[in-house]
Amino acid sequence: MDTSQHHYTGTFHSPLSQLTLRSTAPDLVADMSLNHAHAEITDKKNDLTQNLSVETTTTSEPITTGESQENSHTDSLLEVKDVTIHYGQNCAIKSMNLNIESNHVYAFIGPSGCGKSTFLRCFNRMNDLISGFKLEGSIKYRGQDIYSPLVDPVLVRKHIGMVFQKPNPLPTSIYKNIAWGPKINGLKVDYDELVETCLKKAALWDQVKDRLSDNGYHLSGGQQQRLCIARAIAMKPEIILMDEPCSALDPISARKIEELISELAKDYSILIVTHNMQQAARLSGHTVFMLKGEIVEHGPTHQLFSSPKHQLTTDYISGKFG
Amino acid sequence: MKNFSLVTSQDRSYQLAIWEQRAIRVVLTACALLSVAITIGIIVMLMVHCRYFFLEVPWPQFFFGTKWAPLFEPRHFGVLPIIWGTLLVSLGACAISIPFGLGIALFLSEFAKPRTRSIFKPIIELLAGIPSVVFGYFALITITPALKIILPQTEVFNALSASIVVGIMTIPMISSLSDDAFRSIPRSLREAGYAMGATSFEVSFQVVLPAAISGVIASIILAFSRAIGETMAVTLAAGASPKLTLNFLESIQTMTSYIVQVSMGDTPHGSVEYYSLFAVAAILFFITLFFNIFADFVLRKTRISYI
Repeated sequence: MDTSQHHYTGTFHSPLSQLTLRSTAPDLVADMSLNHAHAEITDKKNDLTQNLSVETTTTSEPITTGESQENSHTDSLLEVKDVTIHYGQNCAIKSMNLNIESNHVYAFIGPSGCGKSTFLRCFNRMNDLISGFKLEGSIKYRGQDIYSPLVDPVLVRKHIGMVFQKPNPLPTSIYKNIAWGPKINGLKVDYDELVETCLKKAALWDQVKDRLSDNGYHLSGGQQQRLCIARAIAMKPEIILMDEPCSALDPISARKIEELISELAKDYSILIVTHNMQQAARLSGHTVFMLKGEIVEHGPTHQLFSSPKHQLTTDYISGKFG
Repeated sequence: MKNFSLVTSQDRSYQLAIWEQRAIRVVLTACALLSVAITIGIIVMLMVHCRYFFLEVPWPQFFFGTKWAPLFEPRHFGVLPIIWGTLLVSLGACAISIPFGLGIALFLSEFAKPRTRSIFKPIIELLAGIPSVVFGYFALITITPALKIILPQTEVFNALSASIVVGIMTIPMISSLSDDAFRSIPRSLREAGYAMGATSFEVSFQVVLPAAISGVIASIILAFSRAIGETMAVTLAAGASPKLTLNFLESIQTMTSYIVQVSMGDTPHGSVEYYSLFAVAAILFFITLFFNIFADFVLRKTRISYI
């Protein structure tokens, strides 16, 4: 991408996500409006950094901020509209509406069974694998409804990667764990280099560089989870979904993964489901509080935690139920 | 404080319960011991009779001889042709049962809807319940004539027809055991594949199949060992002409069908051919034993716990 023409986009996207951006929004108009979207996010982010001292993405430029004030409408990264989800007879999500902006960390909190994992798994159509799953409404990724009958879920998953609750490396070598996804998707790259960069990004390279042919299962839990993150990065996604990525790990490994996530937040949009409210506060710019398949409240994380609008939110974050 | 004692009660019903427990323990142990005793008994019986056989026939002639003609003069006791016949039929059978069995297993575990599965699975397993004599007749009156239409040089008794029918018989073994192996792979592993943009085809063949490989290999080895031991269908379909041949269209003889042949005739008790039965049976026993142990070894060696 020409950096002089898109100099401010460049500050928010890694070269990798620019590729994805171009493929999904090739025309200039869409590209321009995306920039406005970024401007507003950056605005919010600065706000956040002051209040929460959450270390997030890059600085904004005055020009973009000015523009964003003129254009109040924004193009969402993900747009959830009237989504209702059933598993057979059970209703898991009730007419949900949510806009998700790009280059941001969104945390989904709520008690067990509130549907936050189900909701997260909608974004890469992972729920399709569960029999009896039915979704009404629409989820748009950069303007395209990912539940349209014409959409191939396999293509959706190339743009939206996922890290699961339990580390689930493939029962094969560390190298193949990372190279497999790009390989089956026909990526023409230097695989040795790809494996190295992904492992470095996932802060695993130094520990495994001498045993890339070892089985992924021989790593420790935290290392396995970092391998899974490296594997997700290898697909060069724009969004990474994380379903309680630290909950199956010991506190020290969990802390390392958390550090890794805040590092990754610079390059990717991250949607994370978590039980741990401190984690949500540390990592995210935006928090969505869910209860019984519905959104109770959502907004900037500092706002939601310091001055929640809803009594239920107050009760949940103060630990009255959960 | 209430009076109580931890000393064994002398109450009659309590004594009875203790004896009952002991009795059940003895009966159950006896059942387990009986099966072990029978196995050992068979091995001892085989070995003792083998000794008589090897008193008359030198072992190099038996193990390395290439002519098997124990019933007619001049007698030859080279066991290789019937071992070869057995392997030929078993390998042929595997060539049929492995692709079909694995295909069925992958279909059932990865692609079939629960309803389809509930219909298909019992029907496929029903195949295993059909008596092998019936399969033998099926080979003789259906498969062989069909083969003759395609390949006119096919003999009435031939190895190909036996291979096909034994292959069909061992399909349920491979499909059922492999299906179990595939289904024991946790969903999280499949999700890992899908999350990386794999199609269901890629997930089945590149994630689930390699992850379940230990179970799959074990099922194949067990099916092979079953094919080696298969008797009636092979006797009916393949005939009784011991031969060292690669031509599937010719009649051959397997170890099991030799045993049938001799057992049915009026072989005098105590003759060499009578004792040859036990020598052949011992080889059969050791081959099957070897494969069963091998299957167990493979399972142990390649199994990864995903929990």
